[in-house]
Amino acid sequence: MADPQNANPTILNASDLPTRRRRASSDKTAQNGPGIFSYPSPAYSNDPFSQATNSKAESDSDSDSIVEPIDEQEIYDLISTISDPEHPLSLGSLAVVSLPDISIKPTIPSRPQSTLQTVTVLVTPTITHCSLATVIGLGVRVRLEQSLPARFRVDVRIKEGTHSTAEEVNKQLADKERVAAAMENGTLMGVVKKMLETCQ
Amino acid sequence: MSLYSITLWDSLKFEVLSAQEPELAEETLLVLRAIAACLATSTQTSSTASPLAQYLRPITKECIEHLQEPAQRQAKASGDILKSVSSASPESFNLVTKAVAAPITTIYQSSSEVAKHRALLQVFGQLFDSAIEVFGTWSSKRALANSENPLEAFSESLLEIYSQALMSTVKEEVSFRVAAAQGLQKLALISDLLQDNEIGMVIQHMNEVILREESYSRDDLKKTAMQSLAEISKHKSRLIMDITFPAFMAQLPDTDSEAEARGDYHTTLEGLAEVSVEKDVFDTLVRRLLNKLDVLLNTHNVDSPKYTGALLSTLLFIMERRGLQNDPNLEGYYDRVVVGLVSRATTAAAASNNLTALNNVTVLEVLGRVSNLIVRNASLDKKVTASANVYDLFSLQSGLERLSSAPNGSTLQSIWILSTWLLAAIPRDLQAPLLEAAKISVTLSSLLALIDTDIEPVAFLAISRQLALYINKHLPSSALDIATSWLTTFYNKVRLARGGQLDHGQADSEQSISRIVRTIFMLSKALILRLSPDTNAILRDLLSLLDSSKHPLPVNKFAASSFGGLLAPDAVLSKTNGAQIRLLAPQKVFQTLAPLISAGFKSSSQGDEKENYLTALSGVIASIPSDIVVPELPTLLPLLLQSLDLSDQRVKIATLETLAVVTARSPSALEESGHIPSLVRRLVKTASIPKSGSYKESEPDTPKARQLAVRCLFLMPGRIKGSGSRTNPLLPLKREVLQGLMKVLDDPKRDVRKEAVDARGAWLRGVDDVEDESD
Repeated sequence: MADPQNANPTILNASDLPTRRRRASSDKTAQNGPGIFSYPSPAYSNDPFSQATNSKAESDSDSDSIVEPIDEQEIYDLISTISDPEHPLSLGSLAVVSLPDISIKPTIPSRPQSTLQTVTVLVTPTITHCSLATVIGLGVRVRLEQSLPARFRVDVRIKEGTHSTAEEVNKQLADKERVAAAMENGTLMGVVKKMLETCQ
Repeated sequence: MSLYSITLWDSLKFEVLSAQEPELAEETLLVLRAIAACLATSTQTSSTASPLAQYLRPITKECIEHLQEPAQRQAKASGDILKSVSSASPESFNLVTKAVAAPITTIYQSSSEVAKHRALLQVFGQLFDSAIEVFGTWSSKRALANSENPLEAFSESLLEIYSQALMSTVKEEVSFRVAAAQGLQKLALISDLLQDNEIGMVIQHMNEVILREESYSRDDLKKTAMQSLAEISKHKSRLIMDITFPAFMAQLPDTDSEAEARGDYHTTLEGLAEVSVEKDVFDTLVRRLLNKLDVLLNTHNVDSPKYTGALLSTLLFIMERRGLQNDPNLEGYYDRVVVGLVSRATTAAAASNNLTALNNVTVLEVLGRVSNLIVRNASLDKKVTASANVYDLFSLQSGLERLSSAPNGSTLQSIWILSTWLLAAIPRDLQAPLLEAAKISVTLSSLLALIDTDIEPVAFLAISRQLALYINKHLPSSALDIATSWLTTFYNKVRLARGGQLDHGQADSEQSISRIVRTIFMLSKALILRLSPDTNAILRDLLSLLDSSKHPLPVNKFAASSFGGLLAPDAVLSKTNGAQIRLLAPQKVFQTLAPLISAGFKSSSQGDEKENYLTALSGVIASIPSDIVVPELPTLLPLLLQSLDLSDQRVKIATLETLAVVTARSPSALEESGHIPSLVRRLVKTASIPKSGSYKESEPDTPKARQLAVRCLFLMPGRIKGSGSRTNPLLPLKREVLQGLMKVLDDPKRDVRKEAVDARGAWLRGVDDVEDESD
């Protein structure tokens, strides 16, 4: 597979991929006790009969007061585990999708109170002539459309300079009718379904 | 075999190098290894011309070729091949290593990319693995005495490469450093490979990683380093004691102010705990911790208990992990901790001066557990002494009288914690004056009189647990009527609460009602767990507390929320402490209560009362294994569904958890009940946040409840399919669910959104009208 025109030869290791740092738990361990052994604080919270009032002392992460907006890391987590149609590897570890290539912007900047957002994902195929670039783009698009609320518009493109027919592929992916027709194609849908099976 | 070995290799290698199916690749590796093993048994003249050498030559040649491009997939496959082939026998390991180690080192040094380095380190790691298989570790030597380990020639350069990889790389290269750390660990474990001073260096690197570096992302590296130290300590505990111990102990703060300023002592304590598995290290650590405690306590640090608490927690952790049976130092621990610290805490509390961190409630709890552990494992006469000291607590200033008469706000009230834990450690059949039936009866009377007064919550809890201990563990079966008569007394007290007519005229009547109800439940729990002959009657009486015609609303409410505690596990009243917990108790409780609860629910007409019945039900179900619940599901499902309409989050969460378990394990029961549509609709409703401005201004459910509701929805498509003539019951609901979940995709909480994505995916893919047989 040593393809000289291979734009992306290396395979990334899972622990090097961008992940969200779990803010809540790490703060707690710093304050309350060591990670492996922590004992309940007041003796009476140990009580098997403790009533509802006691359990209201919940952490911030459990109350609705802190809103967690959908951000680029979340989009990345949604698509990085899609598997490549040819190999048993994920798009994230093949660096086909990467965090810097994802952006979220408001769809109508002139109207700040509108909640419509546009997600733009730039896909870098593994080989410059890769005929499966369209399929990969389609897979990403389907995944995002199934997983994001209606107010998000999805825009999937091939990254400039990484594919010989990037313009063509982008046109296809942006064309709603062609995408809809593709969704009717049983074989194509089968491939996409298999790609999405590994999503976590 | 030697005739065909190379041909076999040629045909098999594609299976590994361009692997499509992982199972095939694994089988192939085993075959390659078997060939090598078989060839090794043949007689050989010189090692270079033997059939084994001939077989291995093309293998090593090709693998090295692939390793020139270490980040490719084939490099990893080559590593696998080398590992399986070299682990077949010492000779094959010899040949492979001699052929492979030098070239790989050259490739490593000639390249500068981190990814390549990491891949090469991992390949070496695989060689180390097979070395461990062939030669064994320090404590389990395996190979024959005359075979030398070829890695010895390379050990120095390898050590240098790995150490540099670990210590001189930027911290962002996590996986690289982890690979380096793992390699070092394996090197250190191979028997007779590294010298002690070299292993010492490895240990020092690990120490530095753990102690000096800041926390970074998921701390994979620190965890790996910790594990390495733990592994090494199993084989070379002397070195760990000489190198790691002083380094870590020096990191521990000496005073509370220092501890609070730094705040990082937890990592150090954790590291110390991890490496103290072997006996010598364990003994030393215990001694050092106790010394440090003494130093701290001399400063009367009652206001800064955290560090003391952490030290005691560490002590508890390592003692529990090691188990103290037959420990020769047990007597010493008994004297130092049980007698020494307990009496110190008690005397200080009684006199209200010389207070130390020990008098803080949290710390007392930990101290209690440690004493409990030690006494449980102590010799018989020590146990008798302990039993004599349950109230005296080794202090002349204590005793049942003094404890009982301590006023509110006095530190002496919290000493009840120690008393309870000590009592819990006493075995059931001990011959001691404390445990004679007459004495128990007297003690029970005093305790029960005390519990009815206005004591602090901490003391209340400790005393009620003592009551449970006496009644469950030590009361002989013939004397159980003492307990039941006390139960009746308390029921009478509850009846007097009707209309607020309590005979004591206490200001805080709500607290006293709750305490009376709690005491009733605690006494009942003690009796039920040992399945006393009156269990059925006791359960029925408990249930009558929910009846609004018999008791006022506050009583109903307290009772409803206390049902959850009946079968809940309790650290004090546990099997380890010798409590009588019969295996069939949960079943009995459930089978008696479930029909009564659903009958009560149906015959009730008030909303509040119904809610109480549902709360009680969810409490009971929470602690019962699901196979007991499932047979009753048809009668209970309507109640569970109604619980989802309540606003009490605790009940909802308990119900959802039960439903999740039922869906996962016995989906057929759900299907047959025919309630799936209403269940699904309620789940969608629970998961959504109501639009603002809607008719019912209800609070949305907590994120946890929403998440659980979506989880239940997620579990369904894989398991509920419909069978044979019945169509899939989920099919008509598919559209509704997908639309409802669409809104949940915009939930403010990330975890809920993730569950919704998974659930939508499951319903989209799993609920099909056409059965797809292909792929």
